[in-house]
Amino acid sequence: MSDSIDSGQPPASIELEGRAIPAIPGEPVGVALWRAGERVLSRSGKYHRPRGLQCMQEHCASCLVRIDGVPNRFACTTPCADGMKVERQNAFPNAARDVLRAIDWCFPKTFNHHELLAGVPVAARVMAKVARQLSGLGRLPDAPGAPFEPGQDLRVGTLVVGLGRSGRAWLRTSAADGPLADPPRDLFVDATDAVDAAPLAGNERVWPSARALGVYLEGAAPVLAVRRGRALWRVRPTKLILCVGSRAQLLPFAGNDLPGVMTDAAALLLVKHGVRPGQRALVAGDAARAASVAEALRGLNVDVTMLAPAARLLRAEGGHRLRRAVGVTSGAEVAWRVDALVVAGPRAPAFELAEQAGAQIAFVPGRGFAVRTDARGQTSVPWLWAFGSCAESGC
Amino acid sequence: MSKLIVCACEDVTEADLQTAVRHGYRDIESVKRYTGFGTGFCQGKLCLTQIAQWLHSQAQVPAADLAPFTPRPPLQPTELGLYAALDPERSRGGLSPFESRADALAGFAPADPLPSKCAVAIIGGGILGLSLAYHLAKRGQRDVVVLEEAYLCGGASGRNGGGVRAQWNTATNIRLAKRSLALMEAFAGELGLNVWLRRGGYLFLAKSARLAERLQRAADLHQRHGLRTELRSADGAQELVPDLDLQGVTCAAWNPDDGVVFPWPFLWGYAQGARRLGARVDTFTRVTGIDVARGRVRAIHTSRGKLACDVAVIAAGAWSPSVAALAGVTLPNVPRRHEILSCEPLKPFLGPLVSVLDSGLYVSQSMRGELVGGLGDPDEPAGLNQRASLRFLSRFGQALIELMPRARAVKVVRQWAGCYDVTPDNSPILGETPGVAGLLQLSGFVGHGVMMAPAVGEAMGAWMTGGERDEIFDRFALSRFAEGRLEREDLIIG
Repeated sequence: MSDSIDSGQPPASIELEGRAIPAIPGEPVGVALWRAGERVLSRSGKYHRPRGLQCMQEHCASCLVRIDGVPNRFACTTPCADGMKVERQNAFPNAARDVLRAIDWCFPKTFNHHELLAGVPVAARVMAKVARQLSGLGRLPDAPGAPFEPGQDLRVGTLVVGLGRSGRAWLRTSAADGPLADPPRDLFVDATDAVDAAPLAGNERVWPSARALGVYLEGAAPVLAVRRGRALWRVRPTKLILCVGSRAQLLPFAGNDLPGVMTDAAALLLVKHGVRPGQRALVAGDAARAASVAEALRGLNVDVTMLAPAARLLRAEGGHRLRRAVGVTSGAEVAWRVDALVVAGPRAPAFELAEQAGAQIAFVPGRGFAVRTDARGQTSVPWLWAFGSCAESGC
Repeated sequence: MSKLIVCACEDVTEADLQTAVRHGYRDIESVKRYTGFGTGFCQGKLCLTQIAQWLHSQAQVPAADLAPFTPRPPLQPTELGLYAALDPERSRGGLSPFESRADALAGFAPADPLPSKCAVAIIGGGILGLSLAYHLAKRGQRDVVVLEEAYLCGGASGRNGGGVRAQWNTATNIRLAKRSLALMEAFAGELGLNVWLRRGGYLFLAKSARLAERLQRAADLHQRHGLRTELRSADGAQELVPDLDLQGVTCAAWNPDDGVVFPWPFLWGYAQGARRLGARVDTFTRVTGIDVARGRVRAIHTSRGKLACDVAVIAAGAWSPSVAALAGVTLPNVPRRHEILSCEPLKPFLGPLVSVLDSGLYVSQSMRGELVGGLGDPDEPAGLNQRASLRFLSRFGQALIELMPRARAVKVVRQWAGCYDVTPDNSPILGETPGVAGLLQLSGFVGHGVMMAPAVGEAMGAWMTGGERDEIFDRFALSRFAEGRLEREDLIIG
């Protein structure tokens, strides 16, 4: 790949298994590796299938690498620093050529680990020993690492989790109405994916890049674990408003995990860092999102093909990386020689925090599990509201 | 490759989903457990919706019946050190209301109606009830119905750490545990499912003189009963666990024959085995009443109708006192939440299950490489509660980091909770019920039901079909509490 670094910043260098990789300080490790032509970032747990950048949002586990002696870190978000040591995991002798991939070929559909060799004398015992040796992704961390900051406690009137599109829209239109109409009006915002952390209503505190890790109950009252950098906060809100959005899903076609198959969000992030997902890309999925990612790709001179709306993807093919995408259109199979398959697929509501809070969840065919709310965003829990694409009524 | 991956973390394929459905698992909690989907690093964020969609369109599960599996905290794998930096004493709060999810899953109940009568009705489809059903059927008593409120593995049998050990403090428990270990070795051959028994040993650690003395006493008993338990100094123990920090340890007890199993396949295996022999296992069937007349149990009322029976067995774990109350019987058991967690998958480095008696910590490395561990909480109130707490994460984090400083950088992937079924003397309640003929007890295993179930189910199945009456049905009878004859076991973890 010849995506050169041209950012004006002083270049740095990270080390991938002893090989120097040019990088821009602060850009994600995965971006630097992709720019350098590295497509296989990890090997899957059971079949040792090659995996690359797929979601770039810390949702999937396709890019987990060992960084400076710490296992299972997200290459997609961990910022590069000069001299950083990156190792791929769970492969023998190495991730680029992993002989344990033979497991994938020996069992072309699956192997049923419940029943395989069950009760066969000696063989079952050997299998258990081998399975134990093959288990795990990364090795134990080299060191305990730096201490964390002491935990903090905070009580707030209203806590909003998520400051994406719906969170902002809701704040603008509803700040004086709905759940904020009654006191307390002490507004607090956890901006998990904030692009712009500027205050909106004036009296709220905004935590950029904070992450809500869970909702717990103390009696019937909520307490949230919220991570801010190297400290954990216990936040006890009187009212909780979830605008946590939705996330990309694994796509239902064979080869969906091949390096080179990625979400539109991942492709856009690569483009943002000036890196091409591939030289030839097939773009599929939701028309508006596909059009916008195609435009971004063309801006970096990627040779883009759009999958026709009536066509359907059948499979992605390739050994260690995507070589070919196969689809069907008007009853006939069509193949595209591409090294990137960018899919603007359906996004599933992020219902988890609401479920932990005890809210009712509904399955909406075609969308997924969504938080059940009334027209004003109220859930089945008196202190909980949900807005935007995480909610049943959202879009 | 022609695989269609449906869960990338655990490499679950569409063929695995088809196998699960073929075995009768169509609800998401069961499909998750049977295939392993959603149990990896991403905790289902990438796959749950697509698999629900698949069950809806390919396995004809109505949308109204589809509920997500319980989303366990944390939402992202997070370093234990971050939680350990919280003051656990500021994470308190009373018991949260317990909400059974069973009613929401009623649509998955078997399609054919419940029979109107049976010889033996077993209330509770945990490992004990299923082991009993299998052993009854194996000995010819096939007119058996197991009534399970929800899915298999929903209670403590599916929520524990899978530790199995012969290191106990009474001769009876040592005998039962040894028999269970032998049955576990034979399980895959007999029932066709791997249970992944890994005999990496149990290493008990004691710091205080009082607990060290307890280990010394136990080791003496173990040697008399033919166990290979040996006492070790901290240095001697260090050879077994080079990555742990044994500072302050004054005594260690090590038995290389103890180990860890994967508990879920026991339930599936016993259920499949019992069914194959003619018994019934009715999941998603809730018991609502027990008819007792003229001093004898007559019938069970359920959410799917009435079931007359000659004998009813209460094997409902932490729910046993509330089930017994339906028959007007008071059990001394109390439910008590016990929490547990699982960390990121790491290459094997920890052989034994390690338990620190002073803190109540236990931890082992699973067959998938995850550190799995729990920690008792002396301040835990009695009551049914299967919710996870933040307090546990910080207490466990602190205790594990003390034992293993590098755990500070190890990430917890999920946490959950189950209920111990606690009796006043930490021993089970087995056999007859004074005043109610035909009502048998099989409960009170205080967190070690999985390791006792194979042996106890076998013994009870033999006794109920005219075979030998094992002394456990006298020693551990419910009547002992009224008689003031307790059977204290003090080697309880957590």
